[in-house]
Amino acid sequence: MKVRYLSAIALVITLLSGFYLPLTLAGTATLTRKNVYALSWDEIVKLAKKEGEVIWYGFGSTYERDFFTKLCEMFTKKYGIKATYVHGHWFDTVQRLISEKEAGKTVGGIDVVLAWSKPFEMAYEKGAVWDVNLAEIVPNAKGIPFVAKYFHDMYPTNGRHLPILAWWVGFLYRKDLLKYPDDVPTSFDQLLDWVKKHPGKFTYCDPNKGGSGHTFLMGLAEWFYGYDRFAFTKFDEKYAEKLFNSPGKYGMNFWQYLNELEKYMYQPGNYPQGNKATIELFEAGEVWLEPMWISITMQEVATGRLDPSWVGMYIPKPTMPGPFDGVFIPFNAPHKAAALLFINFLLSPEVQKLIPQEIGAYPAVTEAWKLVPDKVKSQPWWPINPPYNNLIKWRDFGPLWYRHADYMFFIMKRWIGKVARK
Amino acid sequence: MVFLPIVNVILGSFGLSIFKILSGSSCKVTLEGYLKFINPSEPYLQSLFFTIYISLLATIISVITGYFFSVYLVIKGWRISTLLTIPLFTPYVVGAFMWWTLLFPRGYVSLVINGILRSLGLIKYPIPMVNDPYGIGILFGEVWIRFVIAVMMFYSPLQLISRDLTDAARSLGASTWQVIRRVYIPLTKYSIIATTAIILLATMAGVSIPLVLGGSWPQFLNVMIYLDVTETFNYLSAYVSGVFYLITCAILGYLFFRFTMKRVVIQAR
Repeated sequence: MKVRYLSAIALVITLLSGFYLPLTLAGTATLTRKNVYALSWDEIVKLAKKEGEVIWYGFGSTYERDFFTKLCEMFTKKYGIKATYVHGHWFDTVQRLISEKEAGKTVGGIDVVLAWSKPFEMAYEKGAVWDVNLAEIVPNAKGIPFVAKYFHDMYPTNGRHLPILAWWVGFLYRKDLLKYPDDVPTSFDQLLDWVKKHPGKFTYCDPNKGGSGHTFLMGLAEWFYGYDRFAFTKFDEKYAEKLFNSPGKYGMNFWQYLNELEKYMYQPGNYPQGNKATIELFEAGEVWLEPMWISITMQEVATGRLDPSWVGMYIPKPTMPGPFDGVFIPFNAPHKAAALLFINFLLSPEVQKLIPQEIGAYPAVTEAWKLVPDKVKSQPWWPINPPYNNLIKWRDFGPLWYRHADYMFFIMKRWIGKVARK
Repeated sequence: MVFLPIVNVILGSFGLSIFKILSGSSCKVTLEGYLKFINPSEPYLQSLFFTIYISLLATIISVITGYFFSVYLVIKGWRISTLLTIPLFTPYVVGAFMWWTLLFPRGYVSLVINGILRSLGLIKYPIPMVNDPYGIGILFGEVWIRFVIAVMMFYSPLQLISRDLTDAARSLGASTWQVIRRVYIPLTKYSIIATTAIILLATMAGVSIPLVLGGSWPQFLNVMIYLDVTETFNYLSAYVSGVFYLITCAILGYLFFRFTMKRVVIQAR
């Protein structure tokens, strides 16, 4: 009798733990750091639908704004969950989250934040990021290259930040005047000689005013001293100071090299203040070669400001580092399940294949490149030289370099004193 | 509430935070930011001098041209056209971008000025007129806005000067220049000082115009603060630069109030 009685109790407990607990999680509970790993994806989707809303904060040009708004509409249509895109600036968004963290505000107003490495680092180190490994939970994240999934500009994200796209800087050159590969510097090794032979026809963006400038300088530094010196190393300012003042190429240190380059650049000492100002010089026919974002080049052609017959793009050898920008969920996001579902949607093939076409960036899920129509891939703003003309080959055979956020900041800060100021 | 941000900036310049102090968290006092600021090898001190230099230049040009334009309007008996007030209602950043398109190497103003200078044989290569190391672009942007402010501020006091005084001067054989020098300027000198101080403070405080039209170097100190906060997250340097900015503006403000306000009130009476 006693055995039967105990067996009945055990059966009830088993039934409760087997059926009731998940039902409780999916039906009533909110998503937390603890239960998120225990739920199946279907349960997360159910919770997301119950939450019914997701708010995404992003940044970028008007093209990106329109594209991200369109993605929200697509998501709403697909899942019946209202998605709202708020276009702003990453700095304001991150500052808001940090303030909310310090003020102890447990329920905020942002579910997903688009951010690059440094703002993410700021938010993460202040505890303003939801401390959950998104890479383990979001199904579509498995398509992101490993390094990009766990590092952003060599900063370890621990999967708390997932890239959704990759902006890239290439060398934009006047295709109508210069023929690739004979008339352009195909590698960084040839850059100085080319600039000397074509005085006033090369420029780059002030690194403190535009990403094409600091990405170019980071790539240049990685070539100048060797990628191994930077690749996933711990930053040390004293070491950086020593390194950048030591001889690299041509018996010069990095700053001497940049100053030598400057002598033959467009209006020496006068650097365009921003990506837009830089490409305007190209559009006006003032310069023939400059590092430029593929996305901005595409957008300038689309708006009719840049003659497509002028546009040629290539990646100088050995390569140019690329930033995979992505999203994170704030610690106090009010709709965390919907945020997870939304991130999964952003990484889905249907969205990833649209990224090159709509904004001129690479998909973070690199396999999606295969889904991009040939008509889009053959546009002149994509790099023409192999392996960079095929993202899959580039990913598989490299060299696929990354930026080192701390060294990049070091370069940006020192550049004012060592190059602009002199 | 008025002083809280200022106190926070001052404390921040020593590596302290008002919020941390209130919450009892530990803070370490540091003079690192100040040492860096006054170090000539760092860009900050030179930025401060550049800011003062360009602001003074823009102020002088705006005040002189604005004053003489106002005198011209008063002598002719003309009113200020509504069209002239457009810069007053134009957001600074819009005005700055407008000037950028005009001063850009292929901009109309740049092409005309460089064309004239080249045809006169004064230059061989075009002068960069925007994002340049001389502050030419900033001067264009600042003067365009400040000139109108100066005109608006000078016009009323000049109009209040009795016509009898200028008629008397004329009847005694004074030329226009002598009328300006002996009648207008002495009777509006406090207005000139006040306008100069206001324009100088406003020029120094603005960030949009130097950010858009300034170059990589030298930079306005407020652009350095902006970059320190938003690009390189160097808050300590930003706080210290803010303190120096406050001190400079406070000195200018003190001079303005010390030497003008009483007299302006007396003159108004």
